[in-house]
Amino acid sequence: MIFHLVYFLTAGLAASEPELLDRAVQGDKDAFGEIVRMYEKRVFRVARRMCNCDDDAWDITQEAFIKAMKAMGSFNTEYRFFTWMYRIVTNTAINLTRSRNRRAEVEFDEGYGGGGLTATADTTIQESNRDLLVGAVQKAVERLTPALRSVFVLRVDQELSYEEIAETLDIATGTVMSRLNRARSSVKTFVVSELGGEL
Amino acid sequence: MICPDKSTLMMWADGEITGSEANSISDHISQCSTCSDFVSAQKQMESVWRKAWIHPADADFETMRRRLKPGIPWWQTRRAWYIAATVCAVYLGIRIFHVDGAGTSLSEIAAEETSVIARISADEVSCVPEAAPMEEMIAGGCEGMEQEIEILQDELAFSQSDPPEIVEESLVDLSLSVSDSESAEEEEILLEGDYAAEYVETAVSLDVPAMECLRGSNAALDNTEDAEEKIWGSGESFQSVSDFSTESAGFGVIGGSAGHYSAASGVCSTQTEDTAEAAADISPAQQGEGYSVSLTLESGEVIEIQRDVWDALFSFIDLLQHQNCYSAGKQLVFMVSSAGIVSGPDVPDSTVIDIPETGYGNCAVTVLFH
Repeated sequence: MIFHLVYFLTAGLAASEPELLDRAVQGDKDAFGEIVRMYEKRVFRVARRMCNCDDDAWDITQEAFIKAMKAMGSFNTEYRFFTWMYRIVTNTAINLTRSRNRRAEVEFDEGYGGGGLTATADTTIQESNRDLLVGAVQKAVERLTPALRSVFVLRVDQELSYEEIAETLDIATGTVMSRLNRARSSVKTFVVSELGGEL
Repeated sequence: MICPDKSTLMMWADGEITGSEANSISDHISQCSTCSDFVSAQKQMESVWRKAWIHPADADFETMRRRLKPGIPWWQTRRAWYIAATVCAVYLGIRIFHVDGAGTSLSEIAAEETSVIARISADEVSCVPEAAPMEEMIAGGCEGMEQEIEILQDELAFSQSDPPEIVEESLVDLSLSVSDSESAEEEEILLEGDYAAEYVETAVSLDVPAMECLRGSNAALDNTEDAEEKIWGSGESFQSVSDFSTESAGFGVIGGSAGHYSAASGVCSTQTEDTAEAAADISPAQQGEGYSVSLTLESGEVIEIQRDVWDALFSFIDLLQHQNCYSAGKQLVFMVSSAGIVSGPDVPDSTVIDIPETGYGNCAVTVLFH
C-alpha cells in the first residue's frame, strides 16, 4: 500500500521527456533507461511489424536501443526523438532482413487498384474472416520490399503523418506518397488474391 | 465532380489534404458510392490489421531491458571497478611483497640489480660464471666473443675496486652510490618515487639489449645506447635527478644486466653461433633450473609446480629461455588453454603443449627467472 502510494507520488514528479533527453544526451544512463521505458512498446511494435518474428523483433528492439544509447551523445534535442528512434529501428530491421536474406523480395503490381481489385459495397468484415484478413495483410506486408514496408508500417500501424515518415526515413514527402501508394496497392492485391475477393 | 484518383482519396483519408480541396473531396465521397466504398474498404482493412496486435507481456520488456545493460560502457559498471581494484591490489601486492615464489621484495630486487652494477667491470663481462678469468672464458668456446668483449672493456669504464653500494633503498626512493673510475669520485644518485620504480622495472626488462651487448657487434653497441635511452628516458623524464652521470651509470646498468645474466647461466653462450651446438647437450634437468614456475588456476588458486608434474611446460620454457636468454628477474606470463594452446606476448603464435593428466588447462603460467 505504502509502496503504491510512493509510486504514484513519485510518478507525478517524473521528469518530462525533454528533460530526460537532455540528461540522456549528457550521458545519464538512468534518464536513458526512462526513455527506453517510454518507447520500448512502440519500438518493439515497429520491429515486430517489420519482421513478423518475435525473436527477431526482440533482437531488433534491443539492438536499436543499444545503437541509440551509443549515439545519444550526438543527438540534437531540437529534433523529435521518436522520428530518430523510428529511423534507427526501421534501419535495424531492414538490415536484419537483408542480411538474413530470408526470402526473395517480391514487389507486386505497382498500379494502384489493378489486378481485379474490387471494393465491394458490403465492407463489413465477418468476425470469422477477421483472422484470415489479418493474416493475409501481414503476409502481404512481409512480402513488401523493406522500403515499402517501412513506409506502410509507419503510416498504417504507427499512424505517422507523411511529414513525420519523411523525416524518419530521411526521404522526400513525395517519395513517401508514392511508396505508400505502391505499398497499399501491393497489399490489397495480395489480400484479394488470398481471400478470393471476400474483402 | 470527377472521381479523384485513388492516391488522392487515400491522402484525403490519411488527413493529408486540408482546406477547400478536402471539403470538395468530402462532398464527392458523400455522393459517390464507388469512391466511398473504396476508401471504406481500404481503411477497414488497415484498421483490422492495426488492431490485431497483442502486446507482449511486461516481463518480456523487463527481460529486454536487462539484456540492454551490457551495452552500458564497461567502465561505468560497478563490476568493472571491483575487477580493476582487485587487479591493482593483486599487482601491487605481487610487486611489493612477493615478486617471486621465494618472497623477494621489490626492494630486494632493487638491491640485487644495484649490486649487479657494482660488480660490473670489464673483467666481469664474460659468458661463463663470473669467477672465471678471461682466459678460461676464451678456452670455454667463446673465442668469437673475444673481440667483442674488448670493445665492451673500452666502453664499460667502471671502477674495479670501488663498486657502487646501496646507500638506501626503499619502495619509494632509491639511492645509489656510483663510483666513476675516471674522476674517482663517488656520486650519489637519488631516484624518487616513480623514477625508482621505473629504473628497476626497465633494468629488469632489458635482457634482449643486454644480450646483444654481450654479442658485442657494432650494431649491438648502438642498441646499448638505445637501451640506455630506455632506462633513463629521453632526458625529460629524469631532469629532476640532478648531478647524475647518465653516461656512466647508464652503461653500468646495461653491463649489469649482461653480466648478471652471463653469471647466472651458461645458456646465454648458446646464442652465439660458435657455441650453438653446446646448447643441445644441456640436459633437461639443467635447463629447468634457474627459474620458478607458478600456475594461477581457474579457481584463483596459485600453485608452484615442478618439472615432473608438467614436463611439457618446462620443456617449452626451456625453449623460450634458449631463444631469448632471459636474465634474472625476468618474468614471463602466458596462458595455457584446456586444449594446450599457449598464448602471451612472449610466446610464438600457434604454440601448443601437452596438458598433464592432472589437468592444468585454462591457467595462467608465471615464470620468474633467477
